[in-house]
Amino acid sequence: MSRAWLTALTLAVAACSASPGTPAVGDAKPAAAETPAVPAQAVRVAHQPPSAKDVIEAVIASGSTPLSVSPTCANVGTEPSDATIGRYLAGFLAELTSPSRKNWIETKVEPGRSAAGEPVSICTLTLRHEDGDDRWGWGVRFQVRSSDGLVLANTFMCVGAG
Amino acid sequence: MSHAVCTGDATVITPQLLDGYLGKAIGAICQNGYANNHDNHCAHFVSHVLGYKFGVTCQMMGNGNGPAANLRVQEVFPNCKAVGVWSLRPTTLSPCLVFITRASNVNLATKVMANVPRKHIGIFLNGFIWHYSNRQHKVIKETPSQFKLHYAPPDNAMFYGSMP
Repeated sequence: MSRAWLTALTLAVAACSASPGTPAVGDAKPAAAETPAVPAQAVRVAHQPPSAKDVIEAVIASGSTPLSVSPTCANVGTEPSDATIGRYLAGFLAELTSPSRKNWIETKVEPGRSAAGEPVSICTLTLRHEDGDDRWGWGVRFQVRSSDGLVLANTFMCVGAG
Repeated sequence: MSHAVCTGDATVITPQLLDGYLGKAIGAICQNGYANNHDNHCAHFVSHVLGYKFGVTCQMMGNGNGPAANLRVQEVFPNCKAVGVWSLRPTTLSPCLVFITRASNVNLATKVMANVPRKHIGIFLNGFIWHYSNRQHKVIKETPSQFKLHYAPPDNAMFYGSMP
């Protein structure tokens, strides 16, 4: 994966994590310091089942989802002040800047059922890094409703260990 | 490996018990199928040995019904009864947990460790540290001076934590 591509994705996720009226990326005050908001607009994927590209797009578009969406997202940010999915993922994307290390994005889509019993795609995006003992994978999992491709914002959870 | 030892009671931890894990891959320790070699299993291993079921566990993220074990270093750290820099560890504190990461990632006053990529955990007892080597995909035993080489500076500040 090229460094330029990762940089672009980092900027996109970080930008999506900012609520309206919050500072833009690069401003002195981090966006995460603001109270996060649930995405104002519904997010839908382009294909069913979602492609890898759809999963990544859905995550970028859901960057402002607050980490309070799930107990699995408590204190997952690389900084304790991180408050959104976008800020959380941006922290790990920012660790992938060395061109001599092994980094990759892993996506997985599996069929499942929502809590309401509707058919859904269970989507997982994991950012991975391997450099000797410096080895990790952090990301998100969420559901996409099969009937209309709607990303179920309240199903976001944070995956990762270490 | 018997999981009857996962009581959360530090008094049952012995070198013989910990040596029984040496060379084992996480797949031989976890019954919940959470054993991807690309994941980091340091807290996962420690939590299976010591029976830490709080926070995010392998049972929640895996696909089995085996004993649950916490997966995250930053969730184990604040559950320790006391934490401090390794060089100031009370000499009577053995066994205990040992953490390694960049010093600025840790706030001892609030007992918070940020979820930074380079952080690691092991079990200290009788002069040795048992921990999961994610590079070698197995449990190993090292001295504290060897453990300090796990990451290059400045990511190798060591901290102790009394058993949750």
